[in-house]
Amino acid sequence: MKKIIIPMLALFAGVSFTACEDQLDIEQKGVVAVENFYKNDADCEKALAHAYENFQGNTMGRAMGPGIYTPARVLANHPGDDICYGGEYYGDHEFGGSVNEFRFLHTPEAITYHYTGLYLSVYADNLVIDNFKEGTSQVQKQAVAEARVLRAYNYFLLACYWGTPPFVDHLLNASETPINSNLDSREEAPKTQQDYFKWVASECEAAAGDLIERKSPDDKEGAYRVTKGFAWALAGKALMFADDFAGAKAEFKKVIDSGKYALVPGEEYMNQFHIQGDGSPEKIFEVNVRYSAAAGEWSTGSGWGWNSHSTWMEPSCFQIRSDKFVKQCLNKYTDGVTGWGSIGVPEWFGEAFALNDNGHNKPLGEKGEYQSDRFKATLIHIDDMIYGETGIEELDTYYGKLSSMKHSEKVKSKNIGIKAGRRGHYGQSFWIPIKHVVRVGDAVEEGGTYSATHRLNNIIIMRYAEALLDYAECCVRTGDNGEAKKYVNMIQERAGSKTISDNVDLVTVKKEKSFELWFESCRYQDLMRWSRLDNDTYTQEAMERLKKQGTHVPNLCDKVLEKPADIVANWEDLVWEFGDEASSRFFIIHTHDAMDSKYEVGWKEKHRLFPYTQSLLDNNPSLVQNEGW
Amino acid sequence: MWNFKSLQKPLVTLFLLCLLPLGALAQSVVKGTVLDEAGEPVIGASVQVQGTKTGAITDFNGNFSVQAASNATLVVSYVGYTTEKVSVGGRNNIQITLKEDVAMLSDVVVIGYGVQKKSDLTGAVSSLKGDDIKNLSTTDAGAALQGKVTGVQIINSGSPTSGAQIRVRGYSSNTGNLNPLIIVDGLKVDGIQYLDPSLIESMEVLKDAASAAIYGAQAGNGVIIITTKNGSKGKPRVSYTLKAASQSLGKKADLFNAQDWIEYHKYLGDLTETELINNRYYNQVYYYDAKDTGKTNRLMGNYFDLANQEGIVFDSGVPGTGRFDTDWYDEVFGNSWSVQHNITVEGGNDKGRFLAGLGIVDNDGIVRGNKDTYKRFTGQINAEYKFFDWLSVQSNTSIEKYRTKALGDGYGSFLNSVVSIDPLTPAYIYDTADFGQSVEPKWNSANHGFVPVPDGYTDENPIWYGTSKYVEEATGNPLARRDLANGYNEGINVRGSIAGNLMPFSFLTITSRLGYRITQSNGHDYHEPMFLSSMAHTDDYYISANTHAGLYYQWENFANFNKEFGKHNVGAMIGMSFTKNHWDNTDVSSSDAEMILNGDHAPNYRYINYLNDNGKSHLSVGNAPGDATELSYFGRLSYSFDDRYFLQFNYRADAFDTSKLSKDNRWGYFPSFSAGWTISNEKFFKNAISTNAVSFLKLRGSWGRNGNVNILSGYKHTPTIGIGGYYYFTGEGASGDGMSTGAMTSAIANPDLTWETSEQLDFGVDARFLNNRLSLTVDWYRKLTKDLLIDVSPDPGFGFSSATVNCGEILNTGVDIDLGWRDHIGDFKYGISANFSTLKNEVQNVGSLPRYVGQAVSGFNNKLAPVMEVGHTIWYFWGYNYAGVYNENLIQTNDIKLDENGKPMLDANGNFIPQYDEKNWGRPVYYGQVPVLDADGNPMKDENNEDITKYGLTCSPKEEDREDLGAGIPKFTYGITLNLEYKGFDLTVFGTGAYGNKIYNFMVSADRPRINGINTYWKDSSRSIVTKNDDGTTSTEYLLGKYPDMKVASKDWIFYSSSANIFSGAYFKFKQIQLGYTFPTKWTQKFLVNQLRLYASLDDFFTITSYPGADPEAATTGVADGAGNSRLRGFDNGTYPTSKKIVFGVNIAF
Repeated sequence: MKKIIIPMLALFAGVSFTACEDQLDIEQKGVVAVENFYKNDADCEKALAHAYENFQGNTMGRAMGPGIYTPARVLANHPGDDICYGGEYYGDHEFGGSVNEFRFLHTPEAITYHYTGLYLSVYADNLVIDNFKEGTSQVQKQAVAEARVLRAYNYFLLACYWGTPPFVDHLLNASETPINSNLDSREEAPKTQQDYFKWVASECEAAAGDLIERKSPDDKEGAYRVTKGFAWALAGKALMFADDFAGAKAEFKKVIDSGKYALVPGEEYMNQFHIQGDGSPEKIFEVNVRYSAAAGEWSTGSGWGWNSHSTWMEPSCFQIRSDKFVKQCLNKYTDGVTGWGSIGVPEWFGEAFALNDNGHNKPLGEKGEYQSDRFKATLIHIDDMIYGETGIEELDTYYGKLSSMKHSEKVKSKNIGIKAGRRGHYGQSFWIPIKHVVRVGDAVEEGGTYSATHRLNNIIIMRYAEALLDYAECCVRTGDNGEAKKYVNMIQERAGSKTISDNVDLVTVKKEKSFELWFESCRYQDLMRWSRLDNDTYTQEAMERLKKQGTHVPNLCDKVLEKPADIVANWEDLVWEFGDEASSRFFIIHTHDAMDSKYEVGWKEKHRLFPYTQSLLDNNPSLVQNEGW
Repeated sequence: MWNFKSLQKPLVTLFLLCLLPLGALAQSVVKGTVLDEAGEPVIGASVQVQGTKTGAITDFNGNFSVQAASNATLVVSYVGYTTEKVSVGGRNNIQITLKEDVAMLSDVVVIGYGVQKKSDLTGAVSSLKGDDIKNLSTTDAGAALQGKVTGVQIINSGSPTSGAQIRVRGYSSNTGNLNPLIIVDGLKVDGIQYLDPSLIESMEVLKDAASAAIYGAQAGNGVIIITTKNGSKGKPRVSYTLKAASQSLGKKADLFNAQDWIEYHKYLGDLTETELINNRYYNQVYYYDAKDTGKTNRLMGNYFDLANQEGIVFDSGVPGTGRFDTDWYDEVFGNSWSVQHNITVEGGNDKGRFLAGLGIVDNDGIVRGNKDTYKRFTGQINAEYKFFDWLSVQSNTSIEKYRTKALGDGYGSFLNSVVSIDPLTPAYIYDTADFGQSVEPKWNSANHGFVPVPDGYTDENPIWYGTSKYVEEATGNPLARRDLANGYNEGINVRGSIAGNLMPFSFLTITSRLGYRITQSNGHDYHEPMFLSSMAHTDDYYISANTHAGLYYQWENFANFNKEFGKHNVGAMIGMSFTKNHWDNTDVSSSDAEMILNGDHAPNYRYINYLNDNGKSHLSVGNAPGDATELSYFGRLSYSFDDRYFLQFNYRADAFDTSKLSKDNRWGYFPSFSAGWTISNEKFFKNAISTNAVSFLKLRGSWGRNGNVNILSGYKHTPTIGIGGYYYFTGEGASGDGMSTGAMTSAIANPDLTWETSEQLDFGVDARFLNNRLSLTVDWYRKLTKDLLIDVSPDPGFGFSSATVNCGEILNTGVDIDLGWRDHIGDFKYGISANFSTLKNEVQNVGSLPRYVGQAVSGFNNKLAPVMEVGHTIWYFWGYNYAGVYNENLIQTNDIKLDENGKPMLDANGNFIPQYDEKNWGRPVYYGQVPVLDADGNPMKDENNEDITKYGLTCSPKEEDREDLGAGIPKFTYGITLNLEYKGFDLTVFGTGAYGNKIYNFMVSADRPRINGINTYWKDSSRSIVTKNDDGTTSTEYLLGKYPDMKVASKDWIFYSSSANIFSGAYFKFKQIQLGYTFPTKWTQKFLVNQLRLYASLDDFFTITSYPGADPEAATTGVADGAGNSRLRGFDNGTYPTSKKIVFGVNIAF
């Protein structure tokens, strides 16, 4: 037996203690080592594609936050005096409602995610810039220039909302700590919000030389990436925000003089916000959203899926809230896709817009009252929505088919209208917004699925109309009212507006901009700027409205289905659509649930800047909170 | 398996050989009596003459008589008593006293790469024998541990497809994977749901670090070692057991019924009679003739007769004539059966042992229909053979085939729908006019808008799923959700080990063991577009097929040395282990709104093979094989002296592959020490105290270090470039061209990442009293876990929203107590055992963060979050502290009386005078920081011009006023088992409970107030009832309740994120009340049956709890987000409810 034992013991000892540690080295799949990357043009193109993807997702899109809204859109539009936050009732979609009424108490999700998303996007830009800034090839020079403009845009938003947030102009190493730029000891760090805007402009100017130029107004691809035109336009906007109107004017002039952009005809105005308008002559820069079967819905494992590229679920917020209506409305427009009716407009805006563009405040109605192309693309009167193109004309009702019903019968019909028992449609006035309601084809055209949860039309960063109106403002501010009138009239004529201004002053430009660019991420930024610079009544009134946000929320009701006296909620200020009960079917009552729940609502001076959310301050103790927060 | 028994056998054989020559002596009749320690006769004891086939059985008085030589030795044995050998010594009337085999004094315990006598243990090891868990209705070996072992918490879900969660000594990681390391027959397994409890010989739970340290970096959450049964020497034995459990829904949550729901929403003002009538809710209505403008003559009639009549005005419904009052629990859940069959054949001889077992489980969960099922077929083959005295080979193999279907948890899931859909929605409808609010236009559109229909629908006999007219909920009708679910998983697992034991010397055993797991599984799913509401719809066809294959193996070589030198006993073990896990999974799916399959999607086309061109163009596939490896060296030294002093030292070095740790950082070292002192073996003790009083007393102490590497994967220590992501610089129209692929760094590099390390101190006492009848084990432990792996959010300027770092410390301390009593009075035997565990969990460090806020449940907007913070329990509920309802006696701190100038009025003592404000009545009041006011009523400021605040009462607390409202972790868990036996009858009552755990119920929601949920708040809410007086004025009656006026609170996030929603999750559950009868052997042997036992049992039948939701135990599983996550422990949004069972069983042995 011993004969066996000794070899066995030897074998045991042998196998046990010579076991190979190299088995522990397992190569990672599907990756490239950092030290082998960022070398050549191909690497550079990949890094740039990722910078664009980050810009698409983290700057403009969902920023990887909770899925149902895009923080960029929420922060830019919801604090406006021209938006009511709707939904099923008060408290539905707090992330938007709390920003709309300036009462965000809880860690404001939109603020957290926008801030985070912008810096993640900046990081992707810095990867291109830092790794290829010494590059000599045309590919690398152009990529660095594009990344610099993308980064500049990120900082434009960061400066708008947070004033002097950390200035991360390079890839940070672990020992560096982001700190408010006004406290940053580096000379190049912007010390004020104005400095920040100036830096944005200088970046754009510096990069423009290496950028391509859009070939012509018909060059769609020239709208899908950063071009000279966008660099100039952004430089102009940034200089305007820095109060350098002459400088801004010069930049915008370059855009106009390039001849690469044009306003589309009035009948195509609506298309700008739908898939048919992708890459139109009017688009200076937009994120090219496309369906990609290869990328998968959410992710491919290493990258983002096409749903992460689009504004997933946000369309649901914008869509018509069908459960508020006895019969679903606008079916022909939406093909039956329904949503949550979260965006409404206050009465003042609907009235002002209608009077300006249409010359009256009535629905299209049977008589086919005039409405401008621009107005029709933006808002629809409740009467037109219920009685007009409802998509349910063949509905067999007590009075017969809706299509064969007389108007006098329609106004009494209980088979159409707004449902009873729920105090009407929260956050809506007589004017229902449709500018961003998903239209048939906004998804299918590019091979995607048509549904309430996504759309595939591009996300607009800047439209030529905005550049023209900004240019007009700078002209007025530098005393060149004649030049301003030229472009304001151009906008008005294209819109089909009844108002073609003879004289163009600041207020004219401000009004025009509010109609032309409603819900296009300008209003709140402009109001913050105008209220700092100007003392006109228009601006004062707007600021007063902001201060009263949340105190007077409209609820759109239907007297055929529910009498005002039956509404049990705490409301006041009943308004009939045509002035009195006899001539009106729909009425508005006003509520203030947030105040009833003891929230402080309305804009205050501290809201000029958003707060750094608590979790950011917790994670980075060097960061100093903005004043008043 | 290498153990002491295999060493003992050659010794026994040798002994027997020596006795042989003495066998030829004279024979005579020897009589005697067998008594127990209490002097009672032992009936049926076996008296065998050693070395012969002669023997006898004691009679009713304990007497026997047997032919034996005068110098023969009698071997007297009886189940439950220690076997006695008595030398006849010429006597012919012998009185023999049998000692009860209590607490298995000489038991051997498996301790990892070896065994140890239980009495020699120096660590905290709980041992459970097969008998302790026999006849439980569970099919899951993990679930069988519940309430049986101190220091171990088991959390069961109600779902037949999910295994029990096992927690050993607290919660020492913030990660999802807190399960202990589980070793079955030497093989590390991924779970023990597959293992039939009836196959288990023993389960050892290594609780303290010293015991577990031999498993090093993987033992941080404790170790469970399971040994399956094997054959034993003797006659082959065939046994069969049948368990049939009739299952039904256990505890329901207190949901609204239709009447309450209507009353509630009318009170809130969001529901009117008009809406109910318009929605065709009432059969009978009151109405007026339209001409009766003064409404003087109210009429009653049938709604459906009146609906289309002109000239009438509806007034209200006739109470009690509502058409629907759906109890969704009853619609969804029903009776079902879970049946298990087991058959085993076992046998053995001096050379070998063999066991073969077959088991079948067919569990149809309690959801009506067959969409939640667990079917399992297992075969077990255990064999051991001794080829030579110095070589034995052993093999254990388990073959499992399973098939499961499951219905989901979480937001928008099937189970969430059961508790959220309103009771006014019927289960099925027969008229399109009863469709939910957005369904009718869909039904009338192309393809019927993909509105699903139940089986049996025809145009002549239309039947649809009920959809809500009141709530656009995210979930839809649960019955539709169930019927539309088509997914299933099935697979095969082979788990086995083969080991060779080489015993060159009596004191040395060398073992080489190969363990392996071969896994193969397939999943298939298919669904079609469907529309149930604007929030609950799917727009795509979807098909998926997954094939997962894996091979895991571990190769271990270790040598055990054990030798006695006089009173010194020295043991040593040294070994190594190499483990490799390899997987190769392929996932294929396709999804699109247009049809993706040929054959019009007929059922026999629902496979990837039959994708049409559209389906192919939307194909998504994934495959990348993966590997994980680890290498370890380990050793143990043990020493004991005279059965009085014990010392043990363990050491392990572990290394993990580069996907987990960097090359420079891969090795970890895990030592442990332990010592024991058996005082009862000391002379001074024996002299002082009678062994009748204190039979055994031992003190133990241990210290050790373990690790946890569970969440480290995916090369988190190294940054790489990920190729992926894309942007379209060009192109439009259908996809394909113009896509540019992106690349960027994948993560913030952290080359210093290392494992979580726990250090644990344990002190214990083992004692037995009163002739071993009373046993007691007490352990105190302190387990500190360092270098906790946390996903932190660095400043986004670094480019990433999260990074994994080692920071944080958690301390778990507790006391584990096991108490047992066994005795008998004549034929009546009884035993009671109980175990109690306390747990104090405290976070000691979360790096530089003040607190680490975890993500709450996705899809729910509640403001209550799970948080880690220093000084608090891990993942405590961070929410608002609800103080009560605003009323005359509870007002806000700064509600003070002002004079006409707006200045505060002061009382005689200079204090503010409280001012009750009637318009605030009924509001929720919370604790929070409120400004300290100066004499003018203005907030006082500090030097930084910030308000000076104090803790007070306020209706509008701020975010930072959120507090620790408790956690889902119990402070105290316990189990009690009572066994009674009398003449063939046996009764077991076994219960388990938890105390100190909290549950956050968030079925009710501020943003969707119309969904259903628990009615607790409404039932006990404060109400203001306004009545109109005759003179036209109104008067308000205030009824104060525990909860606020829901008119104020029903849409208030703060209220729904406050302690008002936190309930005690304490419960005591009768897990088992079982009555059995074993037929007398004499009788059954006529039918060749050695043993026949029948029993009936009520399992999980009674739960004592005050929790208003469903089962408090299931609510604690942390599956609220559908995935199962330790930070969501105690978040309850309607999980799979547990079932109660009536079990019938048969055990037969041939």
